This record gives sequence, C-alpha cells and structure tokens, in this order.
Amino acid sequence: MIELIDLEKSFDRIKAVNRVGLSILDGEVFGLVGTNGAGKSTILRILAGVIKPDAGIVLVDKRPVYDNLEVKRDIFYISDDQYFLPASTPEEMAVYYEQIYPGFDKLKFFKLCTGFGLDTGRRISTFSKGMKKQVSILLGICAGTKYILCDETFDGLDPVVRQGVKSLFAGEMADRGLTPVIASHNLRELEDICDHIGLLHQGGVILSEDIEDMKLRLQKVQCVFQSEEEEKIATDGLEILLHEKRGRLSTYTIRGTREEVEEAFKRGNPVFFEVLALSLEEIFISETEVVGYDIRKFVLG
Amino acid sequence: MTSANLSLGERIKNNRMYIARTLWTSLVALPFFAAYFILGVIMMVSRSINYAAIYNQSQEVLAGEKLAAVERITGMNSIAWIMVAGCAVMFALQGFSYVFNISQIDFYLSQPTTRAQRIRKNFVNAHATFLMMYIGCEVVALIIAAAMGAVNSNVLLSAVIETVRAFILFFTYYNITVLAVMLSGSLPIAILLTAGFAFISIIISGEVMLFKSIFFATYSASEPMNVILSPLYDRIASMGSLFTDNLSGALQKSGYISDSLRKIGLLELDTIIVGIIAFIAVLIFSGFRKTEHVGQSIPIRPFRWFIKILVCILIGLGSGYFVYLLYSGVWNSRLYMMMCIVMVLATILTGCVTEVILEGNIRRMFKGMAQTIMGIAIVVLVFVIYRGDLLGFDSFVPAPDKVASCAFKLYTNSFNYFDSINGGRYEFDTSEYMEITDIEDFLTVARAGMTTQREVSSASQEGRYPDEGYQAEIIYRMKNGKKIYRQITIPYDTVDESMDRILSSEAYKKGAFEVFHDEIIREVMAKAGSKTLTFVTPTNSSSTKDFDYAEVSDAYRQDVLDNYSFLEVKNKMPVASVELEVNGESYAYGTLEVYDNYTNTISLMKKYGIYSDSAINPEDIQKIVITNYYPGHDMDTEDYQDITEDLESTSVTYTEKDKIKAVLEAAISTDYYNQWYNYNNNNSGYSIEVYKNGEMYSAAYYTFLKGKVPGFVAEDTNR
Repeated sequence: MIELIDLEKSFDRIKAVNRVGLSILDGEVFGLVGTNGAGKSTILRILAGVIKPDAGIVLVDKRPVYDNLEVKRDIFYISDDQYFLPASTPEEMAVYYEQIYPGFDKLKFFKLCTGFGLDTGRRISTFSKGMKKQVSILLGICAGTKYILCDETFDGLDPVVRQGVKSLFAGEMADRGLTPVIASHNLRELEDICDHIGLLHQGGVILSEDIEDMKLRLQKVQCVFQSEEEEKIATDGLEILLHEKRGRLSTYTIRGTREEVEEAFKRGNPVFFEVLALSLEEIFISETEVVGYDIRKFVLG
Repeated sequence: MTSANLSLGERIKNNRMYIARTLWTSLVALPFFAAYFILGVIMMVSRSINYAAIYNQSQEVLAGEKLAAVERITGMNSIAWIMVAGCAVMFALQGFSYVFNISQIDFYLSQPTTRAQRIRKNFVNAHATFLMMYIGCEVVALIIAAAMGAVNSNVLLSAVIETVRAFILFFTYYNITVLAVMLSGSLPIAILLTAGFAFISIIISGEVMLFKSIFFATYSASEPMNVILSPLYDRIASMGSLFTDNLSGALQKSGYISDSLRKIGLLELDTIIVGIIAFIAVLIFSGFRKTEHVGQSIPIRPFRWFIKILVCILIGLGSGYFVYLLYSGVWNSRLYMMMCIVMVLATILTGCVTEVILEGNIRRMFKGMAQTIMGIAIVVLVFVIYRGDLLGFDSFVPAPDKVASCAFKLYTNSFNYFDSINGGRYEFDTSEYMEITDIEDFLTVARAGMTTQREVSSASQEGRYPDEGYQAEIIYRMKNGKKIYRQITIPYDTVDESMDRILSSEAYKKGAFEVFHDEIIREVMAKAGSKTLTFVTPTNSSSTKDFDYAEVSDAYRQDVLDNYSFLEVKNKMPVASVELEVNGESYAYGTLEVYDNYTNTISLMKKYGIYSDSAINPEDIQKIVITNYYPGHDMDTEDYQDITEDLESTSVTYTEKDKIKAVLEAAISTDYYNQWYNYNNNNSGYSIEVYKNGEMYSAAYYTFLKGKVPGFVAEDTNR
C-alpha cells in the first residue's frame, strides 16, 4: 500500500504539490488525473524516489521511499519521456535491468517483445515514440516489481496495443498482485482500466474515490413530463448537480443511487424516463463544478 | 528465470555492457592511449636506433637514447598527463551529466539504488576503466620496449611512479569536474566551471604578479609565481623542473629517481590536496544537489554570487593590465586614473554579461547589481592597495633576525659546456650558490637600493632614465623557508663600505664566480684530448694547448679570493681574459676575466708563455678613430636625456703617436663587463676604436673617463 500524507513540494515559488493525501491500495489500478501542471508527474516522481518532498510523508508498505534501496526494488517508474542507455537495444536494456531488479524476467521480456512485434536486436533510438513506450512498459512489467508507476504512458499507443497492455496489467495484477499507478490527463483512457481515481488540481487533491462508487452515486437521467408540476414532484428532494432542458426533454445529473432516482421519478409519472450511464468525464465535470472549479480549465480527452 | 539467478560471469558481462554504454568515451580514449604508448614507444625507440646508425653513435650513447625515448613516453617526462586530464574530465562529465537531464535523472534515480551508491558506482567504474586502459597500454608498451632493449630499472621505476601520478591526476581532475557538475545545472556551465577550477589559481597568481610588476618599483621578475592548488600548474611546473637536455645520461645514473622525486614531490602533494578537497566538496555538495536543479545555471545561490563576484574581480583587474599593455612604452603616472576607470567599467560590463550567461536571459543584464557592486568595491580596493602600496611592498626590508641568508641574483656566466653523461650548462645563477650571512650590511645596501629604485622608477614614469647606481636583483632567504625577491638600484658611492664588506666575503665570491663550481669543467678538461687556453688582451691574444685546467682554475680562484673586492673593481675594468675551449666528444667553453691585480693568474699565463701586457704601446697602434655622438655638448656635465635636437655624430682619426698616447691614457676599455663598475665615471658621448698595426677591421673599443677628454679631441670633434 502506498500512502501519501500531507505531501508538499515547491519548485522555486511554484507550489507543485500542496498538502496531498492519498492512499493507493494493493491490487488496484490507481489513476491520477488532472490538468497540466496539476502535480501528477511530481507525485509520481516523489513516489519513485526521484524527488525528495519538502514536507509530508510517502510510505510504500509502511516504509519511506526516498533513497531507500529496498523500497525502490518494489517500484518501476516509466516517465513521460523515457530514457534508454545510449545506442542500446531492447535486449541490452533487458540485460541492464536484469542487474538492477532481482525479479527481472528476461525470457518473459523477449516473449512479450515478440508478441508485440518488437525487434529486440534493433536500436531503440530507431523506434517510433509508441514503440519506445511499448519497450518501457514491457521492461516495467518484466521487472517483477510490486508497483509500476506510469506517467502518461498510454499516450501514443495505438488502440490494439493499448488493449494489449491493459490485458497484461490485468494478468499481472491477477498473477502477482501488481499495483499500477497511472497518471494521465486523458480521462477516457483511464475509465476502463482504473479502479480508483485521484483528481488533482493546482497541486491539491479534489477527490479520491473508486470509479464504480462514483458511478453508483451519480445518475444521469433523461425525461419528459406532462407538466412542470409533475416534474417538480419527481425531482423534489433530489440533489441535482446539473440540469439541461431542450424543449420538453430534460437531462438531469443527480447524486443518489439508481433506485432512489427511479423511485423519485416514478412519483412524477413521466411520459419518458431513462437512466443513462455516466462517463468519467461527465462525473468529473459535475464534481468539479460542485466544488467550484472552472471546468474549462481541464483538458478533456 | 530472473536476474537473481545470474552467474558471476553473466554479471561481469552485463557490467561490461553497461560501461560500454554509459562510459563510451573510454572506447574513444582507448585508441589514443594505445597509440600514444605502444606506437609511441616503437616509433621513438626505432628513431633512436636509426639516428645512432646515421650519426655513428656509440653503443653506450644509443643505449641511453633508447632509455630516454621510453622514459619520455611512459615515465615522469611523459606528456600522457594531457590525455589523462582530458580523459578524467570526459569520464566525469559523461558519468554525471545525467543530473542535467530530467529523463536521465528519472531513469537513474528511480532505480533501486541510493544517490551515494550511484556516485560510488560512477567513481569506481571511471577509475577502474581508466586504470585498466592506462596500465594495459603501458604494460604492452614496456614489454615491447624491453624487447627492443630500451628498459632499465630507472625507466621501469619512472613508469611505475608516472602511473601513480597519472592516477592522482585522474582522481583530481575527475573530482574537480564532478564538483563542477554538482554545483551547476547545465552542461555548458559545468564545463565553464571545470575550466574555472583548473585555471583559477593560475589566473589569480598571474594577476597578482602582473599588478606587482605594474605598481611596484622593486618588483623582481625573478620572483616565482606562487601558484597553489592548481593541478595544471603542478604538472607544467613538474615538466619544467624535470627537464634536462641530457635525459639519456641521467637515466643511467643511480640517483635519477630520487632526484626527480625531490623535484616534483611538493607539486604532487599540491595535486593530491586539490583532489582530496574536491572529493570532500563533491561529497558535501552532492548532498545539496536536488533533482529540480536541472536547467538552473548555478543553483546554490551563495556559490552563484561568489562566482559572479570572482569573475567580475578577475576580469576587472585583468582589464587594468590590458590598459597597461596598450600603453606600454608610453606609460606614465597620469594613466593610472584611466586604468582605474577602465577597470570599474570592465567590472560593470562583466557583471552584466555574467548575469546574462548565468540566467540565459538577456533581459537579466542589469539584475544582480549587488554582486557587481561588490566586485567593483574589491577591484577599486585592490587598485588603491597597489597604487598606494598600502602593504609596503616597495619599502619592505625584513627584520635582520628573520633572515637566514641573502644573495645577489647575478648572471655571471663563465662557462658553457655539454657532454653526453653530465648534460649541459649554459647559465649560471649566482643565487643558487650565494649564502651571504652578513645580514646587517646586506640590509643596509638593500634599504639604500630600494630607495634609489623607487626614485629611478618614479623618474622613468616621467620619461627620464637616470643612471643612479648598480641594478641588482636580491633574494632574502627567510628563516621560515620563504624566499623574497626584490629589484634594487644600489646607489653609487653611498654604501660602498657595506658593499665592500659583502663583496670581499668568501660567501659572495664563492657564489658569484662560477669558477668555484667548475667540477665538471675540470673533469671534461682532464679527459679532453685536445684543448686550448688563450690569454686575450684588447689588442693581443696567445694560445697554448699544453696546460692544466685545474692549475688555471686554482690560480683564478686564489685571485678572486685574495684580490677581488668592491673598492678594487668599482673604478676599473678587467684588462684581459683567459679563454678555454674543448671541442670533441664533450664541449666546453669558458671566459675568465682578469684584473690587473690578479697576480696568480698572470704568473701562470707567463709560465705557459701566453701572457702579453694589456697596456698598449702607442707604437703598435696604426690609428685611433674617435666618434663623438653629441657634438656641441659636454657630456662630462650634460645628461644625454636633456639633449633634444637631432645631432649628427662626428668622427676623427688620429695616427699621430703622441695623440694616440694621450687618448689611451684618458681611456678605459669597454670590451669587458664589470657588474660593479661605476659607469657614471665614463663620458657617454665618445666611442674610441683602436686599430693595431696591420688590422683594418678588428678594433678594440674604449671610451673616455669623465673629465679626461683630451682638449684636442674635444676641439676636433665639436667643430
């Protein structure tokens, strides 16, 4: 388990991370989302032991991470801008990591490279951006670490490879309890892979919750009523976050369980009524508006 | 299978791959080291063999030359240190340049290692790679040299010592560069800082020396640069001190190694100290180093301020010297103010430019003025200290009880020699042998000499060059081991008693006259098959080949000890010279000047049958040509510097015996040199050429003593 307690980090006068507190449970996929400059990469670099926080505590399995050899053996960090040894090939990188990570599985790496169509004898510098990311991810998976930290890792991967990587993550999680922490500003990419989301804005955490819980607690409803009175009866007592109306068709985003919402709407005897699935994007727009953030600042994939 | 199961062989192989990828500069350096050592030895030794074949050198000489060839490649005289220093800088920059790149920092620091481990790994890899490369190439070269018969114990020991020195130098430069990396945020700044660290003490010492030469009248050019904590200077100075023009002979002597170690020991110690300081600084500053320092020029603020102030000061002071150079030849005291203004302006400009470089932003030009102002303050303070001589350099005379001995640094070279075993000597520095312990008299002379020197210097800045006395460099050897050098002008006549006591002392004579240190000349002369001794007067010379040099040397030494004194020589010039020559396998040439009271030498020359009287018989003279360079002026009383008009010299030839006799009675020879002759005795307006009978072109040269210009000469040459 990774715990971040009141974490702070400033670069000169810029507060990159401001009293961040998060808990990342073992065996779940944790997504860190937020605007550019929200502090996602900084948090990942702190988690990886690259940066020392100004204040606060980072604990990985109850152990401090910074300059801690033992803890870092459990973490593999894939940065946004991956670095490989000069003029190296995937095979040489595997040899290199073999010395670094005791659990590195070279045979598995070769097998996965073959599966992903990567030539292990070719210089990485000649690979495309997406292929380099694939190499990094495969190296990370084969390192055998408990935690893998991915910074914008899925950007640049084609959908097939992305799906393949997701499957790999799922397999590793099932086989050996891998815990991926993925930072991205692309909510759609994270939606179908993450179990838990931490939303960052201006260095602080807006919310940290399981995606399913979020979806269960928010409902999007499209409906048509005979009259405004009936509509008022139906929505009375509900916590409405958003309401749009086009002609007689109303769209509501409402906090509450599906059953509560259905029960309430039945009271108003609607002409048409349907509960729709909420995307992660819509959840965030709703949540951030509630806490007063201007949604236009977010970069939505 | 996971990496936990790797065998030792696989681990070594993996590490080799890692070094090849992360320290690829070693692959670049290796061919250079191999070419230098292996090809160098082969080429230098074969060159010696070819040279010996062409010029019929003896086997003994060839053996020595081969040893010298190998020593110059692998030993203490090697120039491989340039590659070593370059290699250290490259390895350090490559090993630690990851701190300038975020993706590399992320890559390396996220791995299961601590910062200390990472630094240690880089250090070990770099040093081990260097040693393997250096020693590997060196051993192959020595094996080849041994096969070519070009190795002896001195060469081997020298190579071993040089290997240790190379490691020390590598360690030092590596640490200096790593320190520069740790203190900077980008590669260009790190390279600049490395260069700064390498040159800073040389620059500071150089500027101190140059400022002394500009501002202080008594500054002696012989004063060595006091450069400390500079590995670069240490190596260059080592090369200078180890240099010998007869390395092949030296390598065949048993004391070569110990002599060499004595010469370079302190310099090596200085390099080691720099290395250790840099290493400790690396340990300290690497702790301060933060990941987020990437891209900042010099992240640690106080150090950044220090650098900016230092650069401002050094360039500010340097600009002062530039002004001095620009006006060299026309320098006068009024230009000091301009010098100061230029120094201030240069300091301001440097502050602005430094800020732009450090910030990488031209709009920051006028920021950080506090450091620039600090720089200006120090530059002006230095100027005031030097200009006003606030430290009392020009008036400093040490307390007598603190002086161990003193010496005059004269260049009274009597001999030139060279032989294949002992090498050569073409200079004789009296300060190496002179140990004057009559401190009171010496300080009396020095005090008067410094006062006169200041007056002369002051006059020279106003465009006048008065001849006030004897110019001399002096050295105080202090009891604390320090040597203090001064240039002085010992005033004519005022301290004659002290001068006489000093110059009459054995300490002075045995230091000033090379004949007391002529052991090798004696050896060369004793062995020489053919040698010549010539007694030369201004108008005659006679030679003999049948003489014993030791006898000549002993007689001359006795004359110096018995008959040489300041009061004796201040008003007269030598009358003749004894010249010696050997030109065979060994070469030696010597000139010993003879005064009229050198009775032992004169008697010996008589015994050898080559003596001739230096007094000139007018009957032997064909003609005398007298040139007056200042017609219309009486140079007995006038100073040539007061004569401003263009004059055309006049020459008159005399063949009348009575006139020749009158001229010779009033003249003094200028064919000889006498350090302590009062040249103010001479009338500087005249030159006298004396032609013997039968000689058309070869003349002896004289001038008139003041007040003794014959009336007919004055009349004839001033028409």
